Amino acid sequence: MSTREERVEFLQGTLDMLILRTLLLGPAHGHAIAHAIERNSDDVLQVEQGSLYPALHRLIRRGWIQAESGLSENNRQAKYYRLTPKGRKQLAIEHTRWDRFAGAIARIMRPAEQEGES
Amino acid sequence: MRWRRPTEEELDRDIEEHLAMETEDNIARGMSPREARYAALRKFGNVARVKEETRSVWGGFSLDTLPADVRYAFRRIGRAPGTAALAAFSLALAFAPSVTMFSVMDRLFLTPVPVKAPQEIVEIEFRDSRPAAAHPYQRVSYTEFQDFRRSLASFSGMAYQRGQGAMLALNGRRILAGASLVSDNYFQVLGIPIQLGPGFSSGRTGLVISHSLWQREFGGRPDVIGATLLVTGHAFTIDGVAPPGFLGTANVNLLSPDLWIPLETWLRVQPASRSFIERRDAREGQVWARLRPGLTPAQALVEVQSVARDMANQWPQTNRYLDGYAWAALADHSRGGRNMTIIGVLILGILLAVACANIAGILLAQAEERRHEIAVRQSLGASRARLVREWMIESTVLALLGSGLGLAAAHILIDLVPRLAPSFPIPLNLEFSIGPRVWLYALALACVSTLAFGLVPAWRGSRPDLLSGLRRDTAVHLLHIRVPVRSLLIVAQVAAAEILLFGAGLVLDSLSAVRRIDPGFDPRRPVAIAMLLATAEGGDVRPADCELVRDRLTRIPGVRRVAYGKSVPVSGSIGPTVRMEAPGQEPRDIPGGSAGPGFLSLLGVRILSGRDFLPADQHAILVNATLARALAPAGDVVGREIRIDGNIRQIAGVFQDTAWSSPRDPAQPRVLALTSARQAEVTFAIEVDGDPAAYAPVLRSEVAAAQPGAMVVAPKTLWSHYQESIFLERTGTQALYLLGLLALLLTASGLHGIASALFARRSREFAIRLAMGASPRQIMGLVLSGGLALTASGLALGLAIAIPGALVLGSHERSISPWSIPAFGLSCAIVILSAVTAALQPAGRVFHIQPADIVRAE
Repeated sequence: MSTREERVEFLQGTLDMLILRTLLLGPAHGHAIAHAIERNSDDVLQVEQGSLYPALHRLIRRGWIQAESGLSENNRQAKYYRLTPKGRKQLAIEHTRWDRFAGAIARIMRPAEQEGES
Repeated sequence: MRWRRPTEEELDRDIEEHLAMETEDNIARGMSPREARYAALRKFGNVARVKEETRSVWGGFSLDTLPADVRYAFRRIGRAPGTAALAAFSLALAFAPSVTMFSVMDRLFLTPVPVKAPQEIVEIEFRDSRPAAAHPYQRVSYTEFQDFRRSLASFSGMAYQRGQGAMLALNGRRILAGASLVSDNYFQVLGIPIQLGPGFSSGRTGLVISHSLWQREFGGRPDVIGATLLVTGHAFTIDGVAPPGFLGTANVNLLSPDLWIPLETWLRVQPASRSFIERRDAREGQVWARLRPGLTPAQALVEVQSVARDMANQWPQTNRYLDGYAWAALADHSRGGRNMTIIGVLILGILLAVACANIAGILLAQAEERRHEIAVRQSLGASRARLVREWMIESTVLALLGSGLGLAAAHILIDLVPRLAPSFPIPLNLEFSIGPRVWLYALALACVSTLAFGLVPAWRGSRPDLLSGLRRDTAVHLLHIRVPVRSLLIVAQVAAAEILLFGAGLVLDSLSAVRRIDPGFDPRRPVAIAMLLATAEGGDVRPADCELVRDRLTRIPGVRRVAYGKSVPVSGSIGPTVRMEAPGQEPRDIPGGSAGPGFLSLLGVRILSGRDFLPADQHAILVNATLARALAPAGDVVGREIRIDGNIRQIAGVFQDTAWSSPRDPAQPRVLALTSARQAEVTFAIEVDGDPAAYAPVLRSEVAAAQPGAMVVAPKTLWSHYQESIFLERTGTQALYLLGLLALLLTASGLHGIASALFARRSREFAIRLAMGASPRQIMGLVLSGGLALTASGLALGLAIAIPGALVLGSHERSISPWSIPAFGLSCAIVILSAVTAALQPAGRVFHIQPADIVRAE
């Protein structure tokens, strides 16, 4: 049971960022967002699609995205999510933070290899 | 854009859309529709959990699931009705006394007098400037009121009010009613509208009746205006009915008058009362004054003080030590009462806290039993918020049941309260009810207790690590030691019960202290006392012939001796004041009174030297020991002559100091004259064989036969009369012990539960120990010592709070000491005894353990 909490915590930051990044390309519905994340990560990131919904609603509450109804490509009623200006700013913040984080991890993991190569 | 809470349907639709899209994609990839749907669901994850987590993102309180949650709460309560009943009953046990107490306090202290602009109303009093004055604040006599009225410019109007008992002939009965003699501008100054009728009009013998009397005796008929009412034998016209909420302007609304009579009218029809109403030192009235616009009470006080100084200069004999005093009495009406209410709420709050701790313990035990069910639900997707909410709803339902039960009990208790009050010749206004303020208070109590007993189990019982956390009982870590929460609750309960019992012990101490005071008479003598009031029907009051009544009463079988006097000891009044002039001493005002021959000895008051009154002893007086010492510190005073109110009197004897007003009063000098045989108001003392209380009916009928115009008011025994004089101490002791025992009862049931749980959890271990050769006694000792350790910790905690508290109180009130036997010893003994009793039954189960059965069952 306790591992579930850790996983949620891990996803909370990254999944939110990935959703915001996906919506930068334009409004999308939940299903499309899930597929975009999978596809763009070359299917490395397998999203448990249900976990998208708490995240989407959390982002709406924070005012970073907003929901509007529209028609899907197969003429279905679907809810579209659109990035707000506030969300755009947030994405920039998250992006910087992620770069720093990834860079830091990389510096820790890489130095031995670099020494070996030089 | 403002965030709007999505509905449950929206979420359902979104998820369904998502699944439909995924299914279509899968079909496009070549799956069968059935396969495609399953794959979509697998990919999506647990739908229920997703919904639950999304809802918890919404936060707050959703009405969508409320009916289901409430139904579920009822189902759970229904599954363990005994536990729920125990919890509700625990709450009701604390709730009923709290609500009852508050409704009494509300009526006595918190109900404002419904006057217009109460902040403009000032009460004028006198303040005795002597440092050790027996009565630091004094009221105002009618004559002084007229002086104030003439001189004071700060007020737009000033009114006067003094209480008076009045005999009322009504519908063929005679009742003693409370009357208020008032200046005729009383209702105008206070701004109280007359509900019905024109109100006082000059030149008429009219009066205003209370709304309550109007309803009780006249059925609320409007034609009562102009009707005639016989008051103490005089015909008055009913000129008005007071509004329903107006209970008079007494400091505590206990004695609400039924009649308001203009004082001047009263003096006209009762000229005999002029002599005592108009005495300058007959300070028995209240002065209510309305400030002129823009003036503050402080500014008015300056003028009142200056006028009081003028009075003191002009009338040094009566007013020398009296400063003027004025305060916004109605706006501050309940200042003292509010403190009393807060103390009461706090004391009963302790009981309520004990009840809540008890219920929390019960619910925690339930949470432990249900850990499996909750773990299953959590793995199925129930969020913690949802579980907490369910617990809280269940607690709310329990709280509502408990407080409903408590309110119902309070309704019954409130009707019983008047029976606790001491008897009083004039009916006291003791109609308590559950008004809006009381409802609010009850609601607040219910909310507070829901939170108090609901939050702990809700939080503990819904932890994510339930399976590991609840395998053993719920615990917290104190100083790195694991302490079960239920044990903590028990410790707190024992402490609270100890504090209440400790307080009860302190009051018991002051009760026995006041009991130890020699009242100067023998309250245990078999004596009935009966106050006799003479009345007249249309005309002047004809005094009763006391000798005639005495003869008649003496002839009742079983009656040994009969005597009469003006009043008996401990009657709550210091009696009239007389002026004493003795040779070689400054004239002084001292309390007086009168007694008939044999009256003192019949009450058990000892004559220390000289003799009692003889019949027709017109010029004799008796003095008490304190006065005798003041007159002649070393010698004998019997036979000496002194002047009383200007007349020369001879001291016939000295009687022991007697508590005339209350046992708590310090001894003061007193002189008694002979009670003459013709009296409008007199008290008979009747010494009898057997129970004096049994003689009440025959006393009434014999007095009525001897004096058709007279009536007996509130006959009672000398013992009950004495008990009433220490009513406060007795009631305080009883109430606190009752509360303490209630708290203990709740605590004991909690302790019993813990001991039972401990036993159940360790029964296998016990069985093995027994099989290995341990004696049942050893095991029983193990269980008992667990309970006793908790009790001891609770006792220590309780004493750690109570003893410093008592020390603080003791620094204000010398009679209070925490080292008294009732406070310290008795309270500890009661607590330990009940703890042992509570743990004994579960511990005794060890004798029924069949080791083989238990081990086999495992």
